[in-house]
Amino acid sequence: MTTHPSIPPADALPDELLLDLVEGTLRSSDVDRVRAALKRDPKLAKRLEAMRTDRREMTALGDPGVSAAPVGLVADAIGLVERDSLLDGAPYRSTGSGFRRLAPALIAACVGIVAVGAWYAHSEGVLFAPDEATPTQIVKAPTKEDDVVGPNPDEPVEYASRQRTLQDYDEKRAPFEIAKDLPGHLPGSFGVLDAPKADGFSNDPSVGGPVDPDLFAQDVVSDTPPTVEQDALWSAPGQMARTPDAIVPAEAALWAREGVLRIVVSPAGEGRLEDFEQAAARKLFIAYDPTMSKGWGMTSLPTIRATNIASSAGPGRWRPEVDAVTSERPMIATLRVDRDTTDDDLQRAIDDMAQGMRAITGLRVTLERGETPSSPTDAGGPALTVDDLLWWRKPASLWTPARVYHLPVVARD
Amino acid sequence: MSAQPFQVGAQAGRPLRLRKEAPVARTDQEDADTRDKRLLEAHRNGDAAALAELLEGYQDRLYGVCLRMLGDRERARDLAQDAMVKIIQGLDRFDGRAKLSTWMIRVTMNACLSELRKLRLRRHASLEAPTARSGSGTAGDSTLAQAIAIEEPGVEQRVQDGEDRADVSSALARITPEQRAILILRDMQGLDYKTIGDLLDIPGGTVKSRIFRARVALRERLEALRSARTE
Repeated sequence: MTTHPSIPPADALPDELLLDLVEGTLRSSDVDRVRAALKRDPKLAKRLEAMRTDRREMTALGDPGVSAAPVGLVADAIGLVERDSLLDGAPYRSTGSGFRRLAPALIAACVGIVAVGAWYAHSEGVLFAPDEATPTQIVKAPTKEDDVVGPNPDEPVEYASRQRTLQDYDEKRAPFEIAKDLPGHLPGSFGVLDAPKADGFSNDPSVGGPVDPDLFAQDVVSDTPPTVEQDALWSAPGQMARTPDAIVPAEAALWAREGVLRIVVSPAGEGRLEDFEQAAARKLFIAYDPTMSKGWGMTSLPTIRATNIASSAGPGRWRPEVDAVTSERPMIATLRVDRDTTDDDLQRAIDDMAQGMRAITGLRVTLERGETPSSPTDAGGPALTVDDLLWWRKPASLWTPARVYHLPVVARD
Repeated sequence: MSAQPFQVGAQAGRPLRLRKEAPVARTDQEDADTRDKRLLEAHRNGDAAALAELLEGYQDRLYGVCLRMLGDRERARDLAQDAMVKIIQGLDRFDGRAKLSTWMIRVTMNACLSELRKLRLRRHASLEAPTARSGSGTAGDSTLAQAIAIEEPGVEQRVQDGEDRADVSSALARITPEQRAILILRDMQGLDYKTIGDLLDIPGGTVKSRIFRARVALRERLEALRSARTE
């Protein structure tokens, strides 16, 4: 076969030129040359034509109708960023202050913290059994390593990836933490009631003494400021003011109020724990707003069971039945914030929430003593403010990573 | 103060749904770049809804990149989410030298390539013997294609999308990640050669030849697929 001297063989055409042909961007000055070359190589011409078809199909694959993003993708991503920044000592590392502006109004900021719960820890072999002769007391946390959930205090706190965060949840905290499978899950929610079984604590609700009614009134929800130096609480990021074994309840309570600590109390009487939750649920749902139109809500509570209890009790005087159903569900208080939310709105919601949490505490204590609760708002409590909960509004230098410590509380009359 | 400022009660546990309404006035005529700049500025000024609107404007593109790179919807969703997290975290540092859209695609593509490299390493480590070289791909690429959970379209899908498109989708998963990336950026994202070169750190002079070679590889895989089906 002879070759025209001015027409290169098709396989000698540069890739760029062939690409232009495939993509339809061949310059007019090159058209004749390429066409002539391809006439002598019909196999290549056919292949290039097929590649044009491939390109069209590739382009079609990118159509939104073909590759539409799943619902909730953006919201989930935003939620992850916020959650990682709010929880587990993983402050968002930004060079600017963008996130501090972002966080409060970005998405539903779910902040709720109250350490509640009271347990019996009095049985044979109890590690922290109180002295029978002493008045009610709270025993400090054990120092064993397993009781510290979260980043190693000796390690610098860094941004935790989603994988690590979720892995931590799954491996160490499930099902109490922000369980992603909880119906009430909301990014950034705090689990406030934890129910792991601590070594050495009885699970039998029939043993152990009742919780002192002043336990939480004094140490968790006291109006009296705990004698803790503020500087010690707002330590530099990555550092705790004190080692876990040095935490005293008053400090823990204050830290919890300020959003830097969740108190995890190891229960022994899970049956009663369930009972308390139901009682609290009924009180909260009924006393505060059955339509849930207030600025906070309780989720993950066994509301159906609470409803059943309520139907069998007269208004103002009711007493739930004690059953042995194990409850491992955390109470989660959620406080939603959107861009229309003003500080006044927040303060009102926080007041409501704090009142409700105080009610839970009071109910637990009262029920534990075998009394009939008369009012959900009997117990006193701290005066929370917007800044107490929206701690990320503080300068980043003042952020203290949240840590979770198991803090067994042992109390008796 | 609004009477009902919060989403509460029965809605309290629902996933977040940011408002769709644009928080900042805009013109109907603004182009995508102008819109992105406006939303970025609004976001930096504390407008919470701007971020969601910005991301929602690109979520299909970003997810599409992940889907076509990984070939599996579940993984694509996770990876797109990870990429968005990186994007959100990097917005404060975004200097505006590139288009925001380009930067977002770059972040996403890097996440995909990184994931595929990890996958390839894992597959290499787990294989007792390498697969024979085939076509333009390497043994590792071949095993990667096996590793990727390729969504082979069913009959209905083929009817719906067209057999050619389904075949292209399958063949795409069988070329190397780098070839796949360059074709996705060119054909699905519609990026110009310079942007592709910047995104993938390819010298400007070789972008076109790389694209062409990727097209050749895709064609070879397509022909192999069809040939295998007819045998």
